[in-house]
Amino acid sequence: MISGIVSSTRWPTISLLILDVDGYEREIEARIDTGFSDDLTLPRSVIARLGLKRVDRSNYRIGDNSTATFSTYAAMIRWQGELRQIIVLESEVSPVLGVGLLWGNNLSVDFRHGGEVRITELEDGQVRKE
Amino acid sequence: MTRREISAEDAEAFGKRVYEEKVRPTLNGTEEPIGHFLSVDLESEDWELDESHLKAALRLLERRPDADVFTVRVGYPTSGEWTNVNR
Repeated sequence: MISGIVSSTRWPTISLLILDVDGYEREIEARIDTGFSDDLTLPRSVIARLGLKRVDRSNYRIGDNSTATFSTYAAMIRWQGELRQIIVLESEVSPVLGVGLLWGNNLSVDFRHGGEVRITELEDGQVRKE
Repeated sequence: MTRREISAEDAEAFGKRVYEEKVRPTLNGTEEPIGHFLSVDLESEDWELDESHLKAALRLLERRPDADVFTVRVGYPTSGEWTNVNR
């Protein structure tokens, strides 16, 4: 299980361990946003510090219903005790964790200040391949 | 290497054209890979298709390490959504 807390700004927030270019685990605080369909976003300065591998550019539909192009990177994180490769979008807002990463898990949040956030893996068979 | 400047609209149109001209002829009548991701090198127009965005793009980069890759999702207007952010 992965646990976190609800921040003072009311966002469910967790700490993620992400591997830098030398293989050291670095801690990143990310807020959970179920309006984001992919894995994770990070600011350019953090991507540069971690030395993440550049992947591509791709379009996403954003809040005003327009389309924006994002640069993406590949990263390895420790997730539910295992290493997992994820896609990272470059964005200057604070790091956001989306449903791509939550897929196959149960998310539970006690919505109050300091409330508990729990992410638990679904059992095999509960996850339908998408 | 310098990345080619390309607007979101042009890149999407480019991806769709490569799908029609290069990918579709290889399907040989099999089901359209709706929802799969098509990664295209903007220079060579070389491509890779996969259910996973990351796998498609990384496989193309494995073959062409200097590729300037743009990825589109077959049958969808965008690769994904982030409704909580604006310009």
